[in-house]
Amino acid sequence: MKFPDTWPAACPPPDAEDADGGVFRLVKHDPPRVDDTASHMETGKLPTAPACLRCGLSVFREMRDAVHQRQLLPKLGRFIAQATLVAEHGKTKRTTGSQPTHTTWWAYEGVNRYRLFSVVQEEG
Amino acid sequence: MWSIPGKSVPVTRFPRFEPDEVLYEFDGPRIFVVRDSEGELNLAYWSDEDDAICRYVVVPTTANILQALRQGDVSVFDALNQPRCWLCDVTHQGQIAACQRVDFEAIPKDSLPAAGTMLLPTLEPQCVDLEGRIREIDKDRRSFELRDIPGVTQAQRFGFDEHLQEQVFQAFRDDERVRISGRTFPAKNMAHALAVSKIGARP
Repeated sequence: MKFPDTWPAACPPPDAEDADGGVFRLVKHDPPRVDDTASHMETGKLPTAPACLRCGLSVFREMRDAVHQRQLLPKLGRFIAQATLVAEHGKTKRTTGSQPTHTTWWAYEGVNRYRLFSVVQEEG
Repeated sequence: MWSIPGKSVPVTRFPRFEPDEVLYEFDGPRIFVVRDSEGELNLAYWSDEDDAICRYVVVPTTANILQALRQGDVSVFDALNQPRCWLCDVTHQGQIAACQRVDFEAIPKDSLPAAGTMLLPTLEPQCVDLEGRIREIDKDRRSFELRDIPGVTQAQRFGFDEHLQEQVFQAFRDDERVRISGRTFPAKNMAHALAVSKIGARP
């Protein structure tokens, strides 16, 4: 298991931990598709953002944060998807800022992130 | 990408479309403060994107509005609902491609936050259902304190509307235990009573 060679040095950061437990994310498709879980590094977006964060994927640890986000930013997706991560899926770190459960997940090379997610709630 | 009627304005209005302060971040800044060419505060909200651009709703704002947003005193929708409003399309490389002046009301509802949604989930009102005795009624401010609450919370201050006034006063006079159903606002040390009922009765 290794991270892509194209990632910057020291990415993920040394204090990132083995992936573990449930995470939530808004997605536009049911079932989720590869573009629902693409990182900015993969899409080429936000090239001036911190390089290591661009390699990761934002997720929440609690579903209520995803429910709130769907109200706040409806264009991010109608569906709330959940994945259960284990160490073989990569590293995570709480990158909370003002959001208590915001987490960045850096997946190992070859991990099909979108396949790990399944929709648990559709917009009512 | 959707389009609505508007008047094109020079992109130099926002010479650097970079966050002065990020208020909400998820896969990059989504809601943030940006300065215009005169150095004035504007609130920018990510409303949509496609393969080429991100579209932001940008409105003039103030330090007071921003503080109210952070504290949960105003919803994101209300903070965006200002007399002047622009849509700015920004490339994924950070260059402003176009800006147009639009009517806020013309923006598709699904490209805006739902009404009442606070900046953070921790600021959202929570349902509360507490039993206790009404004390310290403030007639002018229409508030009271509920005490003798079973459990960890020993007392909670409630505000109430006029239609509950007689029930609140009656419960106070009779010194009887009541159930208060309402909403609590996490960022404030205050809840708002929606119903008062005697113990044993449902609101």
